Amino acid sequence: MKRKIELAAMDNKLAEFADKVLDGESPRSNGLTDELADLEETILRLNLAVSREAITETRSKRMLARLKEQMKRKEEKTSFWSRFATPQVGFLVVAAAVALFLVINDPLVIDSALSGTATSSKGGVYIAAGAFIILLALAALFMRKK
Amino acid sequence: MQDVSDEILIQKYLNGESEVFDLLYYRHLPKVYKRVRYVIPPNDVEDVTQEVFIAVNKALRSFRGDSKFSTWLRTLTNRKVAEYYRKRTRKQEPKLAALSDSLAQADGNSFQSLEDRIFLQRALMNLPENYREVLLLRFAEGLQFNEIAELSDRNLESTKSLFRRAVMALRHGLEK
Repeated sequence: MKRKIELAAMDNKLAEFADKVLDGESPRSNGLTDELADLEETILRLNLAVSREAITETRSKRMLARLKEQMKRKEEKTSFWSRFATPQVGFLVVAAAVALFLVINDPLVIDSALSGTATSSKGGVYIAAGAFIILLALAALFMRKK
Repeated sequence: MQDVSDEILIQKYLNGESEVFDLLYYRHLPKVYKRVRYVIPPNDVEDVTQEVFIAVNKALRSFRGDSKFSTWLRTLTNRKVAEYYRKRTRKQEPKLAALSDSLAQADGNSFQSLEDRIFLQRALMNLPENYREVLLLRFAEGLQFNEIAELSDRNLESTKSLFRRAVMALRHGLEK
């Protein structure tokens, strides 16, 4: 209980000290305990480390001009890529990815292409992939009409 | 226009009055700049501040007004600061990188204060978020304790207690 009261007193003293420091005063340490004195010293250090000078008007203006330039550049960059962000392009990319996946993961495609034979056991996979691509195409068409 | 609330300015901006962005910028730049200056090495303060406003411009369309614009902006600023340190982590230990970059450009007299500033920034960035936030609100933004209490939905006593614990944690961080 005693510690609780001590801490509450310390909270208030430290807050008061910080207020004075931030108001530009040079307050004397409350010096109740070493602990409090250490904390006050940390506050002084924190206050001194960063200049409290406000940003100048010239700098603000210069920063705004630079910002607008940067925003313009970013916008141009975005609008270039946004031309490709259509369902049709998405469909083409996914279809190409599915086809590539099948070729990479199925050496039979390469073997059969070389030997001129086809393997019926893999037919189901190709039918499923074909159906998937058709579904994607329909979805892309549907989105375009919308 | 100077007295118009942020929320109304945003509405105007969303309705196509793009020049309103300048007003929002000038109104909030000092606070954002001060906050960034407390946690980012001197050389990069301007760049990070710019990044914050680029993000504002991009995200304003999704601002729904659930919280105050200043709160939203504060969150966005913290996110950009975190992003800055995350990007640096990929190359080397973030705070050390910041330290070496800035110290390399400091001349004799400013060396000591700059070194102290960067060590403080490192200690600040290593604090738990609620500790860092209460220190930044008081020191960087200059909010009074009762304003911080209101903003963070606490009573005045617990805000002062949080502040004391934050200063204590900072002290420990500086001693390491």
